[in-house]
Amino acid sequence: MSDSRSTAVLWVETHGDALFAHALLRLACRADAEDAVQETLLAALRSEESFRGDSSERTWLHGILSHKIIDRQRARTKGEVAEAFSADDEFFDSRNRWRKDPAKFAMVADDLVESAEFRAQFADCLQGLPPRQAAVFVASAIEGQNSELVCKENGVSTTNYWVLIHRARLALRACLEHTWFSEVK
Amino acid sequence: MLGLFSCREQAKNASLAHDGRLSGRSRMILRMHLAMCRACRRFARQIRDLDSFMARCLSSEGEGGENGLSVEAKERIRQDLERE
Repeated sequence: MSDSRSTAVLWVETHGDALFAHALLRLACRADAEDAVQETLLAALRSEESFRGDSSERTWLHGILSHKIIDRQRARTKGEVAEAFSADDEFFDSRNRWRKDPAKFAMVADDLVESAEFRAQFADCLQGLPPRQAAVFVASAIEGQNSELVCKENGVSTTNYWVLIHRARLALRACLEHTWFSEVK
Repeated sequence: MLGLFSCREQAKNASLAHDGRLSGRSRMILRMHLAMCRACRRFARQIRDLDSFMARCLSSEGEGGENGLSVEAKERIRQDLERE
């Protein structure tokens, strides 16, 4: 086995699960997620020399994966990628107040995350985000990622990055509210 | 105009503050707004909760676990990579 091949096999062991968890969350389909991981590792193998020492191997692989996921989403929607910058008018009125005040969580966060049903709902809500929002939101949560790297890997400017993250937060919590938060006055 | 009474503005600032991107004057205005606005206080807390949901969803629970690659998938990928 050549060196690069054994490197790739090592990647499957070391990063396979983390990459798959990322892909599954964004694509919500195990088969698609597996394919995306495979495409990522193949692409990484072909461009190993382009690996810049300025990020960890894992970060680099997650960056490639993010592109592969967006390609898949684009294919699913037949080339149309939903507008990444929806205005926050959906959440705030002309007086800059919340249209609907955020409701309280029905349970404490630690208990919520233990529920498989909740995690499925969370993944569903993530699916509903415009692809770029989902991409930066997920990427920002990956260990060892920082905003500069996420911007570089996803091709967004720093300013847009903060806008995207914020919109993702507004949309996610609103989506979760339908099923998991209760109106407690 | 620093938007002391603007939930739109202060929600955005709460987001930036969470990521350590808000400094000085703006942070003080945000604190004042949060002191008087329950809705934005909730939003600020839920930003943290979203991060912990995310971390939990991304953590793979071992091989073949809910979020991990199956043994078969790993084998298939490994074989494909070796043909490369």
